[in-house]
Amino acid sequence: MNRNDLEASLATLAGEIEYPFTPDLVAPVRAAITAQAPARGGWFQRPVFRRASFLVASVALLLGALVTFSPATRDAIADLLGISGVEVRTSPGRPSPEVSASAPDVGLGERVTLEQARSAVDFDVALPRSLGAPDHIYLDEFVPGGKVSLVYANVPGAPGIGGSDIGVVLSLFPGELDRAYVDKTVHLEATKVDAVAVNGVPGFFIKGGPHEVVYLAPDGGERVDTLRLAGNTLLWESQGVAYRLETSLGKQAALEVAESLE
Amino acid sequence: MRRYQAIAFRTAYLVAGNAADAEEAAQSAFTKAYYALPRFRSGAPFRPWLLRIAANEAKNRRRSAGRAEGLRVRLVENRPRDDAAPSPEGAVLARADRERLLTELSALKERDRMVITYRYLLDLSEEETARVLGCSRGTVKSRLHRALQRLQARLVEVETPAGGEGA
Repeated sequence: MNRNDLEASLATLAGEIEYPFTPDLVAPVRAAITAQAPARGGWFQRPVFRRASFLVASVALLLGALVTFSPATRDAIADLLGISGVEVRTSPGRPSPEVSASAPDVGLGERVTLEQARSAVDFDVALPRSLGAPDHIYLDEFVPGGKVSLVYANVPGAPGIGGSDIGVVLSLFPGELDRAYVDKTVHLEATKVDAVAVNGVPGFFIKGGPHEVVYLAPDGGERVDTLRLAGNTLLWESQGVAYRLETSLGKQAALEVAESLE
Repeated sequence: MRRYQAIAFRTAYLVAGNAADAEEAAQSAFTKAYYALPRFRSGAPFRPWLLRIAANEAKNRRRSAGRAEGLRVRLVENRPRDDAAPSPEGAVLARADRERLLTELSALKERDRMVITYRYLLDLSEEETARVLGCSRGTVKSRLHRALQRLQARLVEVETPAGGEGA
């Protein structure tokens, strides 16, 4: 069977699959939306934030432009964007985190080779074509499904973050496991979250103030990632893998790196 | 919403493998989409994005229930054969052939199976498939090419009589 035949056969097959009757989804979805507004955690519980988010949405509609969300709506953004596994939460009272000095001490796990990283995890470890081979690769097996971090030093156009020589850190981890979510604490001041698209996939770009990354361990306990960079972060998810790009690069340059993954 | 509910449900069904999970996944996808709708009125295509959420929701349900992945669907019974007009390429398949094609498609790895599923079973365009999978159109092309090659290889293997492998 050649490719044309195979494609024709698949097209035939498509018409012969026995699907269950499509249930009516309108009523239950409407009920869920109505019920969720007061019951849901975070900003949904706070009417003022709800109003603020609708205002933001309305303004976005008027402008037809990229939406910059206020800090109050951040914990809803991950949900809105369908980035399961990633949660952004505000934490007004926390002190600014320390900044790591050099790659070997960033606490991203064990130093490994690319081959070791690839054989240890089930997902594809893609490299950004625009940056090439990373200077350091880390594997953190405490994160369910494994987390691989690619560290790039001395990146042209990307000054070292926080006094280090690290210009870009790209972390990949399964973003769909319930327990493997990342809780990102963003300081309120001077931090903006922009909704962006990475190769057509929704994501968001966190710019400005220092932030730290907190992981939940498989047992549900909180574990602070010791990589604490005062850079920008681009977060997105593709095919069940969550990507976190931390960098001193601006939004456009960060998006270019993200979109060059292969 | 109604214009999308059948395809959202079917997408979820092809991933989850059962109607109850598919229904929940599709509902959840619409709920999430509802909240994000304002962002998508500026021209971003809604359907692939919705299907992407539906597929993810279905995948999560399948995984949390501990079910193995794979396409677990059946063919309709007693579909009238179009015997009067067989295609020139002989693409009209006998039922046994269709069952076998489905079995081999189901046995592919998720990466291969899903690109074929979106492109052929759900009849999405290349562009939509790219958006659902979160990759470029070029990647869809190359992934599809490899997936079809692997499917072809499996079909050939099956055609080889038992015990006669490699002979």
